[in-house]
Formats: sequence, C-alpha cells, structure tokens
Amino acid sequence: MIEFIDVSKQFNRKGVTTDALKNVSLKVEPGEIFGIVGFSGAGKSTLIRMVNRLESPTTGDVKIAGQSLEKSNTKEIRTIKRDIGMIFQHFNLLDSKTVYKNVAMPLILQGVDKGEIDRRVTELLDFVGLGDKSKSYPDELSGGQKQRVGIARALATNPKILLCDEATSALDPETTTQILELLKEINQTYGITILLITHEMSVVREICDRVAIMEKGRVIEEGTVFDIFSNPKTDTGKSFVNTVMHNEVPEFVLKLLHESPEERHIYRLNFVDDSAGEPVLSQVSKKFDVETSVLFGNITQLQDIPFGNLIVEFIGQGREVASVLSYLDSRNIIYSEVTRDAR
Amino acid sequence: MLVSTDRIISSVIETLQMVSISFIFSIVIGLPLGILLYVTRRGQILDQPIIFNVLNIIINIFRSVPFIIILVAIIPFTRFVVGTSIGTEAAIVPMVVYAAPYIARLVESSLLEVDDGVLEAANAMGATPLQTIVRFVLPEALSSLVINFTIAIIGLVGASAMAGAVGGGGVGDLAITYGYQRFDGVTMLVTVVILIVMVQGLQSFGNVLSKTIRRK
Ligand SMILES: Nc1ncnc2c1ncn2[C@@H]1O[C@H](COP(=O)(O)OP(=O)(O)OP(=O)(O)O)[C@@H](O)[C@H]1O
Ligand SMILES: [Mg+2]
Repeated sequence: MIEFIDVSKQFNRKGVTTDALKNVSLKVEPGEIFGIVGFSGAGKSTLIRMVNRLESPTTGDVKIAGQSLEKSNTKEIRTIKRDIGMIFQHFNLLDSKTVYKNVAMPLILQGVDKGEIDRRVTELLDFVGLGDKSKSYPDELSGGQKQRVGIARALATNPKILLCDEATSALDPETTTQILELLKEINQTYGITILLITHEMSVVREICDRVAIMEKGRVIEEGTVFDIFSNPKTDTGKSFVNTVMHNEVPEFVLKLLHESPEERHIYRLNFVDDSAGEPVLSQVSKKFDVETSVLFGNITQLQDIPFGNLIVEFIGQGREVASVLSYLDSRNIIYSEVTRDAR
Repeated sequence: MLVSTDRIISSVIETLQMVSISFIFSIVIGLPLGILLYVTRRGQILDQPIIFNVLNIIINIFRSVPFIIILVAIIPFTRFVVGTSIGTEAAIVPMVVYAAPYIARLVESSLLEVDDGVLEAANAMGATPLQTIVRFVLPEALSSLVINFTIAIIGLVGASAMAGAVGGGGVGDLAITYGYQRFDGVTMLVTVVILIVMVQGLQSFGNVLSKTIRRK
C-alpha cells in the first residue's frame, strides 16, 4: 500500500546539511497497522510526511498503491492525497470553525454537495462519539475530543491510508487508550491501512501489527510486533522493548554471574503461551543430566498472546547444556545466553 | 465660536467620507498585496523569494515617507487621478497611497500569525494554494485582521486631519482655518473632541468585532 524505495532526505539549513533519512526501504501492506518508533530526531516525522508529500525525498521514491509520487505531477498528487488522511500531535484544527465545519473541510475542498456533506459529517461525528458537539468550537473541547475531531476529519474523504504522527503524545494515558481503541476500530471497520509514528512502545504493543525501529535516519530493525518484542536484535530495539516488557536481566542475576568464580549457564527463555514454559523445563530435567532453576520470570500479553519470559540456570556439564539448547531449538523456543555484560 | 453647527456636521461627514472611501480603496489594494507578501515569502505556499523581495522593498519605501510629504509629493499624480489637487477627493488619493502599503504590512503580519499546523493540515488535504488562503489562512487570521484594520483606519483619521492642512476639507480643515488661523479656541476644542470620539468609537467597534469573530 505504501512503499518507500531507497528514500534519502537531506535538509540544508544555513549551510548545515542534515541527513534526516538514509536509504530507507519499507513496505506497508494493505489493511495493516504499521508502527514506526525511534528516538527524537531519528527521522520518523520526515518519513511519514513523505507519504502525503508534505516532504519530498532527495533521492528515492515513494509509491502509494503502486503509484509513484516522484513521477506524479502536482495535480495527480493532490488526487492521491484525498486517499490519505492524517492526524497530528497538536490536532491542527481550525479554531475559527465549528467541529462540523472542521470535519466538512476536506469535502468542501472537493466540491461535494451540501446534502452529501451533511450526511457524511453527521455519520463521522457519531462514529467518533461527538454527535452532540457539532456546533462547538475546538477551544471548547478536551485534547481527546479534539483528536476525535481530527480523526473524523481525516476520515471524511473515505481514505485508504491514515497517517498518525504522534497522535496520542499530547494526551493522558487513559485518553490515549481510548484513541488507540478508536484507531483499531477504524482499521477493522473500514480496512484502512494505518501508518503511525510514536516514541511509546506501549502504543505499538497496543495496536500495531508490524513495527520498524528507526535510528539516525535508518530503519535498523523491522518485523511483526511479536518478533520485535520477543526478540529485539539491536541495542536500540532492546531498550525500546524494555520500556514496556521489563525484560531487563534483573540485577541479582548479573551479580550472581559476576561473583561466581566458575562458569554458569544462565539463559533467557521466551515462551509463547504461559503454559508452555513449565512442561518444557520439566522435560529438560527428565531428558538431560542437568538441573534447572528458574531465577526470574514474568508473563506479558503481546498481540493477545501471553508471552513468557524466564531466566533459567542450567546446572550441569557444558556438553549436557549444549544438548539442552539443541532440544530447545527443536521445540522452537527462543533463548539467549545471559552474559555478564547483558542488559 | 466662529462656525455654525451645520458647518461642523458637514465637516464631520466629509471626514467620514474621506476616511471610509480611502479605507475601502486601501483595503482593495493592500489586502491582495499583503496576501502576496505572505505567500511569496521563502518557505511559504508559493515560495517566490524574488517577487517577495521586490515587493518588500517597494512597500518599505512607501512606508518610510511621512504622510505630509506624500501629500505634497504626489500632487501631480493626484491631479492626474481626480483632476484636482484640493478638496476631499484630492485628499483621498494620498491617503490611499499612504494606507495601502501600511495595510499590506499589517495583513502580512496577521497572516504570519496563523499556526503552521493549519497550513500543514491544508496541504495534507490536498488544498490548492487558493483554497489554502481562502478556506484556511484568512478565516484563521480574521480576528487579527480586524484588529489591524482598526489600527489602519485610525491612522487614516489622523491622516485626514492632516490633509485638512492643505485644504482637504473635513474636521482637520476646520481646525486649521478657524481654530489655528483665526484663533478660535472653541472650534479647536470641538474638533479635537470630535476626533477623540471618532478614534475611541472606531477602536471599541474594532475590538468588539474582533472578539465576536473569534468567539462566534
Ligand atoms: N524542515 C527541516 N529543516 C531542517 N532540518 C530538518 C527539518 N525537518 C527535520 N529536520 C531534521 O531532520 C532530522 C529528523 O527529524 P524528524 O522530525 O523526522 O525526527 P523525528 O524522528 O520525527 O523526531 P521527534 O520524535 O522529535 O518528532 C532532525 O535532525 C531534524 O532536525
Ligand atoms: Mg516527529
């Protein structure tokens, strides 16, 4: 649905060149909710703004439903933009216009007739739960309500894509949850592809199907939410995942490793489904000449699947432990050794 | 007092005519110029730095000439436009030359106050440059425009009084010919009071209008 093809972007300001994006290639599939996370300045906004041409790439191309933006002229791009709605961190509503007029605006721009506008705006305001606020002005609304107006406005033209740039960053946690629920509902009801940017992993865990992690203008990791959360590969990925998963190796385990003179075999095991963990461990003790000792464990929910995280010590010969590991492999269990410098 | 009440009333009407007519012409010229300044600025909707710079310099030149100088300096032009260089009509020409660039500047500054987010939203919706100005920028700036137009019209009241000094008619003329040249203190006082009332009235009206627009 959205395809970034080797996109690079340089900003030149007063002789200073910033590489905001470096050779980014990404594909967002139709109907999915795709998240982009990264620290401030990573290039997330620059990337999402390429989709509706608020920004144009220095090199590379962006394709929307197969159509190249680089090869399109201004008029064609305007037409493409009608298929793309966007919501903003600071809502960007017109303060001089009522909620009704704000939502109607994209339709007015297209010259849709009054009756049709009325029908559509009423339907949208009901959908976002603001049916009674149509005559209010934005400054009479709470942040959450303003974002609902923003969402209704973005959906007015029945777009196929919805872009969200930090759409919940200005909202409190409870309101954030409500807005995320609404976005999920939009995705499911209308099958709209959602590309969202956030620096909060909890947002990604809540609603995304897939996620890309950006750092210094590059996509450094990409995968399903389950894969990234259960097995982040990069340090940045790990630190983002740790903000919500609390997968850090506990202090006492590290201490154990540091203080013990002989080699110890401590592993992190990740289980899908909470019931899967214990049977495998008891199998391990039965099958191999090792003792298992669970040092730490927790269970979190990931895309509605319980996800277990155990830190286990295998006490036994190195050779035996090696066969345990290949057994774990055969059971498709994700594991990694906990070393002294583990994070 | 050397002048009749009728004379005072007719000069008030003259002033109102001069101010309102020159105000309308100034808006007709100044508003599009202000919009042009706004859209051509670097990084703005049309992004035409060359046009912007030329326009900017021309407006600065006009803005740096005091009204009393404009009044006399453009007499040939005034004569060319209205066929005479004295009287109410003749005063309107320099008043417009004085106020239009001023209004262009005020319009530009009002439009620049509009939040970038609004422009971004317009752009994201695929609005054309004309739609962006008409549907987004002007409505959002309207309340501030009204305040700035009030400043401009009060400036014109002052200018109209000055135009009186060269026989432009109106309250200013009265003050000069009777109050100043014939030492009629009462007429002088009356004209000053009239001007104060006009300025106060316009300012209050502008404030109220601006507030109503903001809070419809
Ligand atoms: N218009 C611009 N002119 C110059 N530099 C820019 C411009 N827009 C962005 N940049 C630079 O590009 C880099 C990426 O910015 P971007 O806004 O995409 O980051 P971000 O990941 O969205 O950050 P944040 O989380 O703070 O919003 C930054 O170094 C920023 O300073
Ligand atoms: Mg950003």
